[in-house]
Amino acid sequence: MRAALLSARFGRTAAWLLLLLALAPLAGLLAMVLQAQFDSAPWPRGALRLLGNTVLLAAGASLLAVLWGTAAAWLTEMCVFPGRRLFGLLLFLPFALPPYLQAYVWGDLLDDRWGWGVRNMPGACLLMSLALYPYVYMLARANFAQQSCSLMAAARLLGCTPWGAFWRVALPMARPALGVGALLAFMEAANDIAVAQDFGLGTLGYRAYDLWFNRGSAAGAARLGSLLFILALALIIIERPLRRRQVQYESSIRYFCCLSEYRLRGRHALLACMGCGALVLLGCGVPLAVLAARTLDTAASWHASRLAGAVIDTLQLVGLVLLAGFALGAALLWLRRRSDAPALRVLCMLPSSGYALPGIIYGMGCLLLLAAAADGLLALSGYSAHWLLHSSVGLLCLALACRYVIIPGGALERGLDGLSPRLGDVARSTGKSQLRMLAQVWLPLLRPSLLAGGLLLAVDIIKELPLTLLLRPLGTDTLALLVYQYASDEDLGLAAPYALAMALLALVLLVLAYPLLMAAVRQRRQG
Amino acid sequence: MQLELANVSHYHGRTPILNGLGLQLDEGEIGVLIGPSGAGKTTVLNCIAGLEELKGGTIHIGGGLASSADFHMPAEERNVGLMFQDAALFPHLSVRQNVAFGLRAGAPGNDERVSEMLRTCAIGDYADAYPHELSGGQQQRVALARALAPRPRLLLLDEPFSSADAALKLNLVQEVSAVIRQEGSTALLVTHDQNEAFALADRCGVIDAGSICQWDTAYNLYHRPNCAFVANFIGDGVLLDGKLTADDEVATELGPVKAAAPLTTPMLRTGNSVKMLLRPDDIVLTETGQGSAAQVREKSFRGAEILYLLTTERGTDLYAVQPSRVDLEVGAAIAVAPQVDHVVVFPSID
Repeated sequence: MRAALLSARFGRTAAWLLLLLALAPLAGLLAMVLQAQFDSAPWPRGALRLLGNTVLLAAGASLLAVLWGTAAAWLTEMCVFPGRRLFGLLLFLPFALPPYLQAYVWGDLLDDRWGWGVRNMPGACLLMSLALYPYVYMLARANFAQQSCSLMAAARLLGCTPWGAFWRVALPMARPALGVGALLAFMEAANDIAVAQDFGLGTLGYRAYDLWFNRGSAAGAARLGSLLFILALALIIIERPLRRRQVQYESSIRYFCCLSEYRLRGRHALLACMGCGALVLLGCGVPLAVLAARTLDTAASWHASRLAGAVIDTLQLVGLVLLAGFALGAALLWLRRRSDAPALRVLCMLPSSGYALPGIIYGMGCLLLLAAAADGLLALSGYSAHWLLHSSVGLLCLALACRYVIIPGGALERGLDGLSPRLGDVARSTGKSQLRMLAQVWLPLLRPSLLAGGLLLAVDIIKELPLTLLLRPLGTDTLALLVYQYASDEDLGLAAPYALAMALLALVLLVLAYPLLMAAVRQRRQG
Repeated sequence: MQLELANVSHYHGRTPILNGLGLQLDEGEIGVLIGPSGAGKTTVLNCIAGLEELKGGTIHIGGGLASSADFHMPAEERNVGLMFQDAALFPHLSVRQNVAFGLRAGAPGNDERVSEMLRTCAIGDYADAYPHELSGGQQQRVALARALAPRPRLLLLDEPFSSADAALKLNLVQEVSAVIRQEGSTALLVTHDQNEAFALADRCGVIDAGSICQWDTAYNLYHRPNCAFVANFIGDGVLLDGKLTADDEVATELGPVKAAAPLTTPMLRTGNSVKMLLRPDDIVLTETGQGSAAQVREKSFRGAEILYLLTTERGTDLYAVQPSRVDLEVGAAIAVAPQVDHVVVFPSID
């Protein structure tokens, strides 16, 4: 009895500590933004132009991503044509390649070799959209799959042609999902620093990084960061009602059949195949082939030990972030679900907005907070903890886990929502202990969603650049970092082996995650 | 003939779903298909609506060919309304927009038609509400209005009341029936609920394993079933072993039962073993000493009447229905006799 009470108290304390930890980067970020407002330092030149470029790049990329993603989702989910199942998976795979990799590879291929100028704003939008459309694609597919077929059948019977039913029913109903996908793509594009650097586009993210890192102007970086923060805040505000509407549309659907698939024949089937094939080739096939070719070209000059070290560093980081991420996600969910206080619930929701905040300002927030803490410690005890700022993997892991906490937390929450709330009662009524229930009931049932969430989180961590770049401890070289280092020196040949290893690693994880994600969609479709 | 299905067959992969199915509906008639789940009821509707293609047979709607093995008129050109189990209202449109969905955009008289349907289906009060704000019954009424607004040649209803609770259901069935008749529509409904079927149907068919056993009036389905499946499926009752002793008389363990007309057919001759359908209302209580002895095994109270399960001395089970005031104890020994108005016999398969 006493032991149970103690362990409950310990659990609650731990959850509270994790909540504070998850809120810390946000607090640092907010402090930075506020401080920037009262700072007397001048605004960096051309701040408005930088903002305009950022919005233009992100808007262009996400608009194109919506176009590709919606078309691909519609074809693979609602039409029948040869190769549709395979394309369903293949179209998801460009997610393995981060936007900056697309930019490096295509910039090298088109600009440097063939002399087609793609290193400009339209080119950046197009190439980024190739890496970002899977966000829209997966969300739109889930939405199309969950739209009741009887709705499509009803539209047809009321006189709509297949096209008409798509425009008048399927697309309007998918609008919230498409909106969320577009916002995710937008946030990811605003998060970028490497594409802007490589293509010479002045964006807020890159300029802030440049000021912070190369010119040592923390105040200027903070000022630009505050602009990015306001942009992110606007996105979050737009996103919330969209998510709510999406849920509303889903919940009004109960009955399903499989009648509304369109059989494409002859010319149409060929066109569908060609469209999907082109997207897969551009998004994934060609870049991988180029990277493989460049790797072979430079086979003599790359260091196997360095590659192995980078893979190990990357996997280590992924493993630590997974642990921290799930611990944070579980703690926040647990606190939020148990609490009656609305304020606490809001506090528990706040950290999940991290994914919307560009990695560069998130990292700056973390560093400022830590520096302040270390200063405080120095003043109090005379001990300098400033070495922590630049030599701890732990700090990087925690920051990454906090920023991406929505992925493990969301997976956990969706998994729990998919289960009957009575399950816990049933299991408890059989007299099992909490630990037993965890092992025998919750973990087996939640395994698919936890696995899917874990795999997606791993892919994101492997691809992550800005935050890792800012918080990297000395001596840690992840694949993404090395790719950035070599490629930003305009040497794709040296970056190729690391880029290929990174892409293949992410590819394997995505292939593993895909069936889990689709199963979750289908299951909800029947439920 | 507004709807005519002849020899329709359909497969899902290699599994036959419909198997030589046929039925006819005249203009303004309401037909009901009733059958156990998995019998192919919904597939029939899907084929008529043009959502699935035929493998054999023909479907004519309003006299014109709609489907055959090598012809398929697209669903949107058939002018057929379909009301789904789940209402299937467009969640992004208001009630009024849902009802107007099937009308040709910009055609004159659209507004009047929508208002008329809103009024007819009694949903005018929430014309600007969205589907998720409505109750189940209201959603079904909107679905009906939406299906009827373009004046379809044929209205199909796929278990439209299955999600309504019992109290609401009876009202809803009557309202829907009234609206359909007021609009003069031809309609075909599928259901597994007999009460619903009997309340609505001009013609009623029992469907089993992809074909229609009997396409007839509800009265005939109950009292003159043409096969053992229909007899078992419609209403309560048992099939009692007997023997044809004359062309209009069956000998059973409860005594001889005389029919009003000859029961013999080319397949069934005097002296053959038969199964005779005994409905609960075909059994009457008699004074002890007369009739056959039986014991009350179970009773289920149904308000105005009580349904008894009886066992005869030979161990045969019988159902009998009595008014509530005849309240017998379980275990009571009683005497019963058959009093059959419509004698129905089937050849015994031994």
